[in-house]
Amino acid sequence: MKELMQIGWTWYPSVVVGFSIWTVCYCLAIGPLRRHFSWGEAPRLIQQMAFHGGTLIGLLALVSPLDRLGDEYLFSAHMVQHLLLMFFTSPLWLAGMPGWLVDQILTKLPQILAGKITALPVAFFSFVGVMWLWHIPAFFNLAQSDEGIHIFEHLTFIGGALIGWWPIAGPSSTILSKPSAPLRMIYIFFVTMACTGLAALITFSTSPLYAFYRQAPRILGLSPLEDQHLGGLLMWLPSHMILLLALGITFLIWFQRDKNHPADKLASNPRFRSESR
Amino acid sequence: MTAQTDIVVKRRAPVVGGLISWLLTVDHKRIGILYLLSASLFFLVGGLEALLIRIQLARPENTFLSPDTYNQVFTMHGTTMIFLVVMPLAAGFGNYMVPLMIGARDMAFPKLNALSFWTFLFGGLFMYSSFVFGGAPNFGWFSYAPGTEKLYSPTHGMDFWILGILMLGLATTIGSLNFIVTIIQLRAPGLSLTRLPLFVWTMTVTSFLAVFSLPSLTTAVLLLFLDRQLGAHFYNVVQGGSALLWQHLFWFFGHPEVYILILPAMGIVSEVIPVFSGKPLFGYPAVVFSAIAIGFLGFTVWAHHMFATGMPSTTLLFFAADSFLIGVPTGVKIFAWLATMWKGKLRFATPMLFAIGFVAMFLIGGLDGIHLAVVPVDWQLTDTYYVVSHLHYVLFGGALFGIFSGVYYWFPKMTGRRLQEGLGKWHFWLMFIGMNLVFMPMHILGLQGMPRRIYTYGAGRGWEVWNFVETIGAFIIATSIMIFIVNFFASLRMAATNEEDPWDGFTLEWKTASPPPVYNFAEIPSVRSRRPLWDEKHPELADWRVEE
Amino acid sequence: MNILMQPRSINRLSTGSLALFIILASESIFFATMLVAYISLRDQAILPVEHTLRRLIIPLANTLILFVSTFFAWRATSSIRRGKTSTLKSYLLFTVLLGFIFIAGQIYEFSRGGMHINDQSYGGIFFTLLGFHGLHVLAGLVFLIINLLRAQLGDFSVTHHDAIVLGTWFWYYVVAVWLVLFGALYLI
Repeated sequence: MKELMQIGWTWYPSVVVGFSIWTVCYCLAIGPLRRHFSWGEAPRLIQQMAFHGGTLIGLLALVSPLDRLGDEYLFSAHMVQHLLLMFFTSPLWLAGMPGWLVDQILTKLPQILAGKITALPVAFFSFVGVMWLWHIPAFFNLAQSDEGIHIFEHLTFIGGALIGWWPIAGPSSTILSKPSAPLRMIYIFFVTMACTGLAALITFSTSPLYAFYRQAPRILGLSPLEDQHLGGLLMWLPSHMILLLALGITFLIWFQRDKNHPADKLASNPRFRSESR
Repeated sequence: MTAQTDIVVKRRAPVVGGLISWLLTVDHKRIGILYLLSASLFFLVGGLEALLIRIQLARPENTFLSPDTYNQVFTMHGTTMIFLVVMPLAAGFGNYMVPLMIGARDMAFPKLNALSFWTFLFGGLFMYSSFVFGGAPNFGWFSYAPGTEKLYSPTHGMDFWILGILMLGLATTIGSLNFIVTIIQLRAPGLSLTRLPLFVWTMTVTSFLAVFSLPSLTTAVLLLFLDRQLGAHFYNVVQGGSALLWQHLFWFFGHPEVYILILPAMGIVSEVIPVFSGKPLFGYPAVVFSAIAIGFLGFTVWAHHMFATGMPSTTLLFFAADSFLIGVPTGVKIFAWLATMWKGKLRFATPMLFAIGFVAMFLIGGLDGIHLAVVPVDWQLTDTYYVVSHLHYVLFGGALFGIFSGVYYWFPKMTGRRLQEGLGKWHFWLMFIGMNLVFMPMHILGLQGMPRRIYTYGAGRGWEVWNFVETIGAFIIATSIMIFIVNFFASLRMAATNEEDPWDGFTLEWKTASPPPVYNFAEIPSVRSRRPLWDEKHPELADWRVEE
Repeated sequence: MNILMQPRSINRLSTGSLALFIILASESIFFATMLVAYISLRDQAILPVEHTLRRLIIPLANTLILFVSTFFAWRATSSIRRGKTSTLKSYLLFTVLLGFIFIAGQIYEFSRGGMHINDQSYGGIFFTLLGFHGLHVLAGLVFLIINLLRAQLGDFSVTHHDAIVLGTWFWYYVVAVWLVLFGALYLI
């Protein structure tokens, strides 16, 4: 416990500056720039809080003692950090983004590209690929040993998560439409399965997988294997709960929207044609 | 808008009559009946196997069945009831009713539908032929490796099981595919997914569960087959394999499988209770989401079947917590069913009796499951009769009661006659009493430490009393089934009344003739709410009016 | 007897595509479970074969062959979209030929393997994974060959060529699975 208290905060300049610029850009975009260019309505308060909450969580994940705990001592702590980045910060940022902001950015980018990037298979592989690849022991140990690669790793986590969460938590842009609710729910299922597979492999492993943490100094009385199993659990349960929550919210939005726009209006729509003879 | 007037039905003169037409049929209603009849025959066989088990266990140190025969019998009992009875019964009702309930003329792939059925039948018969070719599989319905490797299971029984499972898996996958495409593509105008009848919803979720979980079973049995036939070592620890690998692969399928077994029955009950309470289902969106959540979570709890395999405590914690969580959606459903009945105009016809019986029995079985989710409790009770009690409460008291509810409910639609109420009530009460006589004492036996799958037990532990009582119960169940069979044939021999809507139902299947013509609907109906038939019969009180 | 007045539904996705996607989703879980089995068994195994460049030559060549075949499959679909049946047939033929070359390469690779299915479990899972992938390649080739024959019989047109699209999708899938397997089995 005493050791825990002594682990200090790691105020990386790149992190602090980066997050600050990110926050400033957001505030400018939804404030003065929005009013000046008449881009649209201000995002609701809860959306703005979501965005800033995501920033705060991300910042804490990267500069609080959690960072050193994870980088130098415990695999499980490191997993909490990644979890915060991929399952909290990224979806919160998306939730906080107003649709018109996305539209504005997209008008500057080739829309076909944006459409392809956020397509479900691409989103899936971005999210899952980034997650699985960095857990391969060779790559994991590499990131642990080289700070530049470690920063790159975190950036890919955030990027992959932003793309992966886009179909579910992304803003309602008029240019980039989201897939139908049932399809989004199936997508969430597949993402959950991918997370389950990785968590299972790590948690059920009978030997420590990562050389770095085998040799790390012990803390809190956890052996390397116990630490690894704890890490597996911490990757597993919170991510499942968040994905379940996403499933529920997607469902609620679907049924709510449907209640407001009943399908009768489609009754005269030739969605359906009978044939005689 | 489908303004069809007269549809002239051009019938090609049948090339061959009667029996052959049934062999060549691609009509979903006939295929549904074929599934139901085949599954019923397998049910009788599986029931016979159960009676054999109960006779053997009625007395301590009994010699009615040899140990090896006993092992084959209980293995085939489990395999039969799960793969050859409950699943095809659900498929049978699904096949018959889903197109009707969504206002379609048939399934999306009628020929594939026929293929599913015949593959299932062949797979089941193939498995049973093992009895003649050297012995049936004898290591339990989940066939744990390495006990099922060639060294420890030298007869061909396991190979029959593996190949049979592959065939059944193929049949189920094709069938599930058919359901999903049908439900997505062939719904009547106005029938959005948010208005789908609950039975159709549960068939959808079940079908997704099947196509996503069966691949894991396929991998498991393929690797076992390679071990047995080509000398591979997937499950052989000495050569770098893993005995636990089998358990993971199997239960990753096995747990969604139990939801595959129960969801259709939950769907049936969700149809019957509202009709016989004269009210719409309470909390429709919550019930739908709980079906989806059960399916979703079902893929995440598999290792609660493996608590005693030496997992690290963090893993135990995760699976215990998740298994508690999965009880919540079921609780939501039970609450919704009870709330539907509350202040309703209840009619206690036989379908409703079985539906209420389902709720009560499934509650007990579900609570048993929650007990087993408590890891230290599970360490004592796993592989004892407590588990046998749990699984039978949910599968017999649950799935089977739900299916019988469907039988009594939909028999008039399928045959144009009702099953007799008097005999129906005898059937219900005898089955209910018998079932509880068999499976309630198993709680006590489990707590007393009686292991499952043992072919006999020593005297003097106090187990003999309960075992004897259970055997009596089993014969009471058998009697109730005979009453049902009598009812079935007697009702068929009565003159047809061809009532379209005997129960004052809510959903589209009651809009057709009983039995429906081959084309189902002369004119595809339009739908404006979740109870299209109610809307039609009571235009002033129509649901879509209330919603507006 | 079979009066099928089947209503046609107008949906974004055709019935055939929907069926194919469901099948592919199911197959993905099949390969995923086998891959997870592979990873967990490899954890415990002693790798008998070293990953040298020489070992990688045939798998690399095979990867290239599949990439090129994807191009041909794509061209086949775009040909029939413009109604050009003759180029459709040529491109289908090239795809099929490359597919068979891939299979031949795999068989060669298996025969000089150095591992056998009844070696310790690592050898077994290695071959099982590649073997089942190979079976799917064969299934894809059967699909493409049937398409080729039907194209020869004039079955396809600008408006009616569902089977070509589905066959191409299946082929893309088979190549995608190869990429994942190649990465997991040979590169890591």
